[in-house]
Amino acid sequence: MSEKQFIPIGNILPPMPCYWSVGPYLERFYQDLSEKKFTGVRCPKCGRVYVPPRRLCASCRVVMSDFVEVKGTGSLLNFTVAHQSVNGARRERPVIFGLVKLEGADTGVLGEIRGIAPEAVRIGLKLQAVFAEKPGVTVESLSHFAPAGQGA
Amino acid sequence: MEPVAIVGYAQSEMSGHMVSSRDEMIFTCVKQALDSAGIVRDDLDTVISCGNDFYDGHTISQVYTLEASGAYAKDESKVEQDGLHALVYAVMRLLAGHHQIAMVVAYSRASDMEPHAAVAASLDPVYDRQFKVLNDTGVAAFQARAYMERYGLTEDDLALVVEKNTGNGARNPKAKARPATSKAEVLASAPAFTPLRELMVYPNTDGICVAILAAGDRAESLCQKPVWVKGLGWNQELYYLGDRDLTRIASAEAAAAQAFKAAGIGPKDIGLIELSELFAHQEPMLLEAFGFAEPGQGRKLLREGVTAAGGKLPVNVSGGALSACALSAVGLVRAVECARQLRGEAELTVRADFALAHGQCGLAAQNNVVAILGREK
Repeated sequence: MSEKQFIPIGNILPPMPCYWSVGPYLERFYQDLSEKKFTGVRCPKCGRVYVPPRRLCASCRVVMSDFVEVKGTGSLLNFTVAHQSVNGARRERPVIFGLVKLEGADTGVLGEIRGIAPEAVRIGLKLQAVFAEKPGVTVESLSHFAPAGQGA
Repeated sequence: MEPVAIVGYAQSEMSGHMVSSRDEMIFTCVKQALDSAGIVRDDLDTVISCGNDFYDGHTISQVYTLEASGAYAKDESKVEQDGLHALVYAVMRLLAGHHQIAMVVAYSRASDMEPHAAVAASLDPVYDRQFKVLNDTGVAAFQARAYMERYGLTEDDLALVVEKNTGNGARNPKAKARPATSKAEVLASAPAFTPLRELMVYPNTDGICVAILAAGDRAESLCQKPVWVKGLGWNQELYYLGDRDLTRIASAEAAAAQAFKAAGIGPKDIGLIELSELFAHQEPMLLEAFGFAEPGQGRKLLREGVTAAGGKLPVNVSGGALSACALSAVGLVRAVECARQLRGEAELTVRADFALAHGQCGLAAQNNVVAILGREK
């Protein structure tokens, strides 16, 4: 690799915070998550339950308003073991990250998986949600998923 | 409506660490493309650039680069998706009849930024991104696992894609971001996001590609060997990861069907394919989506040598995205590589009447674009 011919000048910008107002559906999800509950919404037409909830059914395109609580246990739909950080740099410790279908839900919810060796993880693994000790109205209320039966 | 043709093009060396400045890179390549079409800047009617504000660290970033792009005081616009989407936009502008000559300028420089972090900014901001774990490789890893588990693909199948494409790329003097890489080297590379290893992921690349297009008689008067755009298709699938069937690429199926219909031909007429396979598993998936193999059977084309440079249906003779992948430019490079083949200019020539070029954008190829190119008007 040759060195750059010219000096690189950094992209100097003031901090630019940006926020997303989540709207009533995700607000309810995050509120309930802080009380260690998963909330979904059921489509009145096809009956699919979406977790996290949203306003329109992806296939029927109808408005959904039937909020339902789903269980904190479920099975692993898909997963990856992240050996890299978001910017591609190597992680010191790999993170298992999966898409979990909670009992009563029809869609997968993302979350970290702990309490199992990366090489032992398989699709279909039974998992249970472990909540943060001091939950807040953020995604961090869901600490991680652990193999079911290990006890939180 | 008159048909549209590619009448000139140029691309920089696609390498991991380009030494020139951004402006110089753009200016040099644009000048080469104008020369290749035998025109000057004054002949251009419209300029479509393709870049990404997050890659450039600059909002509406073409305001900074359009002078080097030859677009000063010209009709101009920008596409943030892929360079092949920009080509679609340029074709539309020519078909609308207000312009006769269009230029497409697509580039990015991975050595000036962090490409995976930049693409991660397209993740759902209110839930998925909040975990600070996934990026484009991570989402592609879910796709790879879903597809591999469903059809029983192994790491070997993915490593063979890298071996074929980088072997081809080693003969392409422009594709310099990753050298020829053996199956064993791929399998020995560190895991990135499992099941993907580092060498199954596109290499960080700096580069630019420029194409000049003209309509009808103008194309024929400018160029001895115009390469005609016979059909275009583009399509987009669901955004949320949990909503998508990751065992197939439905938007690529729809894009190819639209392009084939417009061209009035089918997969059996295609003699050459150039894919934007950013991740190794996407090559067999895309070949299936385009109708060249049944679902789950795309890997057989590789194992049986069909997609080798000397095979019946060569795929990525140029080296593909696994050899060099300047984001934003990569799909336009695929079209230019097809044009070089159809004109008989490539280092390793393949005999074909029709070629298929592919581009993608979004996470795990959420959006796909297909161009069918031919030698005859």
